[in-house]
Amino acid sequence: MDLGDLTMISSLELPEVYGLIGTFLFVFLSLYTAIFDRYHHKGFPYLYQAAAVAGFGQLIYSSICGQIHVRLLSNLFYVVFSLTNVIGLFVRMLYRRPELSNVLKCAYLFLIVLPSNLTVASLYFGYLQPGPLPLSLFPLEASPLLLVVSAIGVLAGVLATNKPEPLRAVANVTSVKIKLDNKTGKR
Amino acid sequence: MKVGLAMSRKTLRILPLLILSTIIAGASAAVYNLMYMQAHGIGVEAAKVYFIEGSDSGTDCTVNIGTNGTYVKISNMKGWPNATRVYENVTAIHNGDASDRTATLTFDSWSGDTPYVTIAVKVFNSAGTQQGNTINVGTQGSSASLTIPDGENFRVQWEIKWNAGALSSYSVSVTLSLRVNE
Repeated sequence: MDLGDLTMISSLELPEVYGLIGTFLFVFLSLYTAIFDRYHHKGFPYLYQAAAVAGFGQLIYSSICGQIHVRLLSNLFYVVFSLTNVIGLFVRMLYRRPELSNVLKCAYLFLIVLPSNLTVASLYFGYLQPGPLPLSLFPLEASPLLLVVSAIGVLAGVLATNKPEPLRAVANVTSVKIKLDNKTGKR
Repeated sequence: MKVGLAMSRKTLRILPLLILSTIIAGASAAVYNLMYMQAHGIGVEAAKVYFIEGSDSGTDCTVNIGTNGTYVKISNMKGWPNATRVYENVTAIHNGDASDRTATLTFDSWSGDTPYVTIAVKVFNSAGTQQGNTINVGTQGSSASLTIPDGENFRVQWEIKWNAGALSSYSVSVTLSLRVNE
């Protein structure tokens, strides 16, 4: 490839890079709080997952809405919101969870808080340029469907964690029905 | 035993989250890649190498230069049976760029009463020296590689020879293509 073809794009021309980083951060926070659920509220993983779904929805909206200033503002707001959550979780670990090991706190600070903030700052001030991702797992046509599936998945997770009774009732009804069917089948 | 049970419960709780995370991250990346491609706008610029009319145009044949000079249609060229007719300057290829340009003029296709005619196309620079090979019309892959200096015209010469038995109703149509390298 000719080097002249490598045109640089600034993050202000492609604000979706902020939306993508914000989404990835929320996805990470969701998994992190799910793994270390001893130290965090049980609802946190789903809350973060819902925020990630919102980020994904916003990316789809950006691809439809062509107004650059709307895209820029919404994506910047979203990434600031996600960074606030990243920092907020760290502050919470410092002051509300003193029993948490220092190794975990340091790892979170140096592997998540600092890199994410530095990456966003470098993109904003032009030290980093957005580039294409080497692979994308899903076809674009499926995006709206995936958005709906994700939202339903998060809702089901929230229900299963916070209000398990209705789901248990559904499960019990189903199992009773299956048992009854089996009995009728035997006769 | 209890620890194992707790772990498996935790795994069951994390697994859906992991699947959802993969879906969200993958789909977001797909949308982002689409937006990245849109940010790379494909622009338009004026043609750097284009056709211009030669001195034979209007008198011995008709030359129509297409919009932006990126194609040319030559009509009313004729030849005699058993004799070679030469159109020395039907059209010319002009390099309007500030630097040299390389280009290749290639035989693409022809149709009509092709068995009765022999056509050769040659390209000459302003000093009258032939540039590249002679294009033998009808021979696939026959081409002339050219390096056109900035601001110079290369004239295109057509040599047409019909067979002795060719009738005046016979005709052929020829298509050549010009590929200009960046």
